[in-house]
Amino acid sequence: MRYLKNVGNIGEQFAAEMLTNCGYEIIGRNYMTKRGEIDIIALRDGVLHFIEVKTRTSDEYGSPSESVTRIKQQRMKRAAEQYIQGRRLFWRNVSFDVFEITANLIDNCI
Amino acid sequence: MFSRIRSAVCSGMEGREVFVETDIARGLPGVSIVGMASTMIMESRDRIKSAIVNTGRDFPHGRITVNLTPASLRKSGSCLDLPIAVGILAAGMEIDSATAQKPGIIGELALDGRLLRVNGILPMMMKLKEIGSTELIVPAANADEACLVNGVKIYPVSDLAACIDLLNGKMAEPGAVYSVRSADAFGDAPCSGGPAVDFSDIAGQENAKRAISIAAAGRHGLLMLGSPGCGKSMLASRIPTVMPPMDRNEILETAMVLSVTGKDFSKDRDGRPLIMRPFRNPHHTIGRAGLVGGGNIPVPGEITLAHNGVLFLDEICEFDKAIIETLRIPMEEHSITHFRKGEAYRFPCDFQLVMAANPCPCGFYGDPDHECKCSQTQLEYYRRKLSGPIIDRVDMRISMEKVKFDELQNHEEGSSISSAEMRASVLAALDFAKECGRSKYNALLNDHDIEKICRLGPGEKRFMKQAYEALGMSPRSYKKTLKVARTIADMDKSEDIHEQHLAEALSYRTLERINE
Repeated sequence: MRYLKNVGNIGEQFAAEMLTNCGYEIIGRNYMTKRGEIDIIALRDGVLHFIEVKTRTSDEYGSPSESVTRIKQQRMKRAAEQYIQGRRLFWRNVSFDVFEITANLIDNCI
Repeated sequence: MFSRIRSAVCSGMEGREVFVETDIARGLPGVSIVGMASTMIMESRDRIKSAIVNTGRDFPHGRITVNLTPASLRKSGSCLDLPIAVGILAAGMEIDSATAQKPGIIGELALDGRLLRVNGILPMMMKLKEIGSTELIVPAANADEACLVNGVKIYPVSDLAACIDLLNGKMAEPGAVYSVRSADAFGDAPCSGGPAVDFSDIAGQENAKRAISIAAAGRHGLLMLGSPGCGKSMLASRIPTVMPPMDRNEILETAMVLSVTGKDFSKDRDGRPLIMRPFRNPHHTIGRAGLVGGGNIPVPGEITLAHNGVLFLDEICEFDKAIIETLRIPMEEHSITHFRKGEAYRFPCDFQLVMAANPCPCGFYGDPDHECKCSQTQLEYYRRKLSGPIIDRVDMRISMEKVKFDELQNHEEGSSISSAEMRASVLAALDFAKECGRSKYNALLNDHDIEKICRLGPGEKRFMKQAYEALGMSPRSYKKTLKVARTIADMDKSEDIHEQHLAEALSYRTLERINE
């Protein structure tokens, strides 16, 4: 379990760096509510992005984005609603994204 | 990232052209199928994914939308597995989409990529041919059926990998092309292949055999009355062997019924497919849907399975009267149409009707050796059942006696008339009728035709007047007698109907005498 969590954290860290490099302004990390959680919340060109980072060490169980099931999407949506409510960010375009990472040498990173 | 594959589905006994459009867009991975697809087609998503992965190809990444056009047509069947799979691979650049859109593609996929046989390939191919498709990829298991359609190049493939290679041009042409055989090679030699039955197996019963030849030559409905075990069923099962050979259209239609119902073709001695005239004998407990077809999505019933062959209803009195009544319109129109959910499904059903019954409930009425134990009330009730809708369906009725012991003992090869001889007389009668410019079976003559074709001389008229009055015939049974007499005259190669023909025809109205 701990190994898996590490993989996820490394992935998220990597994603955050990449996004920053691409011009995203990261305004939240690991936003957690009772109803769901969001890995990264970022802003670019006035669009609010809710980003789920999925890291996989192999393709054996399908690609990372395939594991974002409908339930996961629901949970993201609920968390996003709460985030927007809490920060009064209405009237903004919103986008839900999946950041896919397939790592082959993650052991080296840990 | 877009592809368009030509395919077809089978609805009832009709093929419908369907285009499978596939688009791969960016987004969360998933396959959505739109276009009035049934559950069977929705389930194909999982089959296709496994088949593609197990064939060693990459399942394209992205949001896959499959559209089945025309959108208004309700589609069902597993035959779209392969076209959808090829569409996805073509949209995913694994197959050249320009070559993939040319041939018609039909087939069901197994999880390991094998191609499975689909039902109804013939109607689908006919439709694709009609709209100008000249090349078709079909499962190898369907190749036999597919070859019946002339003028279409058939590529039978056994698995998805072979199909991909074929479309990518990697497969050698000559080996891949199935030789296109003409339907004539499928003939219907009556006595070769299949269960080898022949009329010479039956000792005696020469009268019944004569009646059967006449019935086959004129396609007259036949009712056999006789005590249990006298050979009614045995005779009936051999009737297809004396019917004339099927023409190309009949072969195709019979094959289409087999194709739609998923039945295998019978094979001749060399293993080549053989289309024979069917013989169907449904049990008397059969329901309406079983006999005339039906269901949520209609499937053919026994009358359609007997198309171009014989429908034998044994123990006719045990059948529900209402069920016999449902035969009326199909028998007049030679087809039956079912309506479901705003669509009409038409099934052909042109068959020779043969029925059998015991002469009374215990079966021994009129038997010299057994006493009939039925009461008068029972007898009357039984005869009432026999009359009405049942009698209306048949032109000829014969009563049969059981074979004498000596006849049974002395029966040897060649002593009794064989199917080949009977068939020759049937064919001679049909040829003679054709020479006289008649192409319809005599049983199908309408009142107008009868007046024209069955003209009687003064002597014959006098004879029929006597019979009409003495037997208490109705105008309808009079006309039926004329039709049968016409067939007997044809067998005699006589252009006019003579007294002996009429007399023989009258002898095939036994029930009128029983009812006296």
